[in-house]
Amino acid sequence: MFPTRRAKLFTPTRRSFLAGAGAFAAATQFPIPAIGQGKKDLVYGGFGAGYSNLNPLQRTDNAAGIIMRNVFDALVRPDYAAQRVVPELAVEWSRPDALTWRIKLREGVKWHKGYGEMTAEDVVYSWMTCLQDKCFQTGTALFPLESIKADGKYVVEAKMKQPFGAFPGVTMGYGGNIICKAAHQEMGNAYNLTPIGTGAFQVEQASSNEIIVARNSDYWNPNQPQLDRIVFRAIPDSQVRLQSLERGELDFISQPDTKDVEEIKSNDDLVYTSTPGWVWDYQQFCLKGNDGMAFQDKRVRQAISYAIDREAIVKEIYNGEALPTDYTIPPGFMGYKKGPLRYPKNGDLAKAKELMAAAGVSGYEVEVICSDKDWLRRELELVAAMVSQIGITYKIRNLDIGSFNNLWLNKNFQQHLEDITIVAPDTDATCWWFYHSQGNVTAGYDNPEMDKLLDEARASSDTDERIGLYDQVTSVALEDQPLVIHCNPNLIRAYRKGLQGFEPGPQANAEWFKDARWS
Amino acid sequence: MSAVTFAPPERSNSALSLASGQFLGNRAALVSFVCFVLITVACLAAPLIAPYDPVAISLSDKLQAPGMAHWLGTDYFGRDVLSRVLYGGRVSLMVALLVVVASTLVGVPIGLLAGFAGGRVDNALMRIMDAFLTFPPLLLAVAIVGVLGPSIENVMLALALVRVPVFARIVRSSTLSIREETYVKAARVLGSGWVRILVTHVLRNAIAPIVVQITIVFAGAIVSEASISFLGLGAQPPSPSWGRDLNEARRFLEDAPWLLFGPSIAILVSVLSVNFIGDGLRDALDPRAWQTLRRATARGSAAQGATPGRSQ
Repeated sequence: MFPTRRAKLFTPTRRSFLAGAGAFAAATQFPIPAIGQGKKDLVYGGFGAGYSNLNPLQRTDNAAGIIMRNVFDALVRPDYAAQRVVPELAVEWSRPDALTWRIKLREGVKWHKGYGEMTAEDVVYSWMTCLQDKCFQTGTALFPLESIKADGKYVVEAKMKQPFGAFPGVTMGYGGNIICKAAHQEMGNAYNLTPIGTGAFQVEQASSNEIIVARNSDYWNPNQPQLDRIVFRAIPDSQVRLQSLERGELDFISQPDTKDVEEIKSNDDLVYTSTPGWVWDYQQFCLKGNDGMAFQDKRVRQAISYAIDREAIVKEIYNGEALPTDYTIPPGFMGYKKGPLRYPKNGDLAKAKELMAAAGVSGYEVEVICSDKDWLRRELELVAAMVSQIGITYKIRNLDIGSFNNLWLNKNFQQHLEDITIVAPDTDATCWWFYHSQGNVTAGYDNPEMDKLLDEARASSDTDERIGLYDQVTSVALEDQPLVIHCNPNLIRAYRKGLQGFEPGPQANAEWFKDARWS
Repeated sequence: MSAVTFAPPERSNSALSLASGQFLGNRAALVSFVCFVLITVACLAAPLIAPYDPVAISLSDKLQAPGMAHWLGTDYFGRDVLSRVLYGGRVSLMVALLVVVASTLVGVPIGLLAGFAGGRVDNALMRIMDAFLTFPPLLLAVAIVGVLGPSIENVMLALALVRVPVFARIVRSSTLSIREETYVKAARVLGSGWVRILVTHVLRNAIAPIVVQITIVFAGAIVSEASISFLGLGAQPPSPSWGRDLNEARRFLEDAPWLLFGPSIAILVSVLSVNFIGDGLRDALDPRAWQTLRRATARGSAAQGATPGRSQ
């Protein structure tokens, strides 16, 4: 009997052949996750459909921002736990008078790929480029900049048009990321996708949907980075990101579908983090160039805000991983109060209809644009159903992030729904550029009272006074509703067990991997 | 003595009756035709027969399994899947119809002109068509929609554009052989204008491959529209669309697999139906099949002692 059984065991059948071939294919296609000693790289699955620009003076989307922050260091970086900024490229800053800031730079910081040492000239060049090109950042930290000059190789002196107490903190936004003068002048537009930075990683290879960064061996902190290489892949579909992580094709993902949170939590190979974000989801009305639109009447905007069931958004879109709110200051910021402050979290349809009637508007159609984040597209569908109850028809147009930003920043839209991450841990960054008539994403909202309040709050260094002013800013914003804020979503990340040294932060555009390593 | 008279030839009538006889004898084509008519009628009558508003959200009813209240279940916003399938069909069928009409109206004249004129005109027109054909049609359509922006109107335009060369090529090919026929030469000699020759003689005789191609393009347009909407570039939410709803159903593959059934079966049945109808039409419009049918009919008539076309 034995020889017969033995012969049977080794007789190749069609089924066994296919099974063997399948196993071989699986083994070669899906590498077994190499967690543990020796692993020095990380494969990252990011949201968004692609990467178009890593230049900190130009880039505008969060997905590319995550890479940019690992390639560029900033003058200061956030200490999330302490809710303050700490030195990075700038080691000291002082304020000799109300309008002057002197910034002392770190010495010995090298640009990637042999472009020499970073000096005060690079800071001057970065900010002047920013101001001259009227880039995305001019409406934030750099707007009140009167002049800037290098005082020696390592000191920068900036003069403000008006007192700006929060200047160091607000430069933590993209404006604080310094570009390399020599490389930028030499490379031109090529700098945007393969930039030269001072960060812990340098761009090795770049395409529109995959960017590979490698360890910067000349990094000023000799203990960083720990990883040799990070592969950033743009994977717009949340489910594909999660499946790729579960199969071992990815090591780290951002923003999985919140309906899959339980699945991630129950997976012993994965670590799950959920961090309250400096983020809000919101609708914005373009009040410039849409003269005939009903939303020019603030009662219509208030009606929309009353028609929104914010709790339903939190439950259905974020599976509870968000906080309903109706104003711009997120938890942890100076002046924060638990929201919603005016518009009930479950909405008030009767009040909404009353306001529509008072405005003399029975219903209208409006085009609402949205970017390529799949959860925001679902949110817009839900919101469209909510406002349809007061007679407003949202004609939805989903766009890729590049097209969306193009329309948004050029104020060439009627209404949009999007999320945004606050770039700096100061309340000025949550209000000024959205509500001030000079803010570059204000979209035509112009209220002199609001401008005055924002400028006073920006100029003041007194915390109590600033809190009082931001309370008034919030009151005016809740009345005028140029933005209808829905909620503060949490930022969810999942990664393979064994990754250490990663600190989950509250910004959707910032995930630092300098200290990340495999155990 | 009985007089023998010859009836005037009833070529078109007999061709039509032979073709319809051939088509009705094709069981698969007939069943498909009935299915397609049913689907079309159901979709057109969606406002009358759909049990719910396809875009009305009812969060308390979300992800319900198929049952008496919702025959095909509900989606993640509590919307009735059956109603969305019915309304979604209106979008798919309308896109397919308009794509067919537009690409036929543009492609057929181009093919007729190229084939009939020949020479430089033929060369110029066909090289343009070749340029279109070098790209995979779906990829080209996605690229066009990407440039124009996502909307169902742009999907129609893109799909029609990529289908024009197909019609142009087929009609040109038929025209090249038909223009050499004796009756075309005779018409020329008799002084008929080229437009009249093209319409009366060439187009009429090239109609069979065009009709078959229409069914192929129609089925292809349904699949292409669903594919583009699946990618998020077609029908925009909350409008129901088979392709987009299929994409959303993918999110709930494990939790609510029934969400896939409605749109996927609708796409499958409608595309299969149109393809079988196309097969049936191809066979029915094939003159060789008519000869077989004629011989069979003649044998049948001879057996009964009657001769077609002769009266006594």
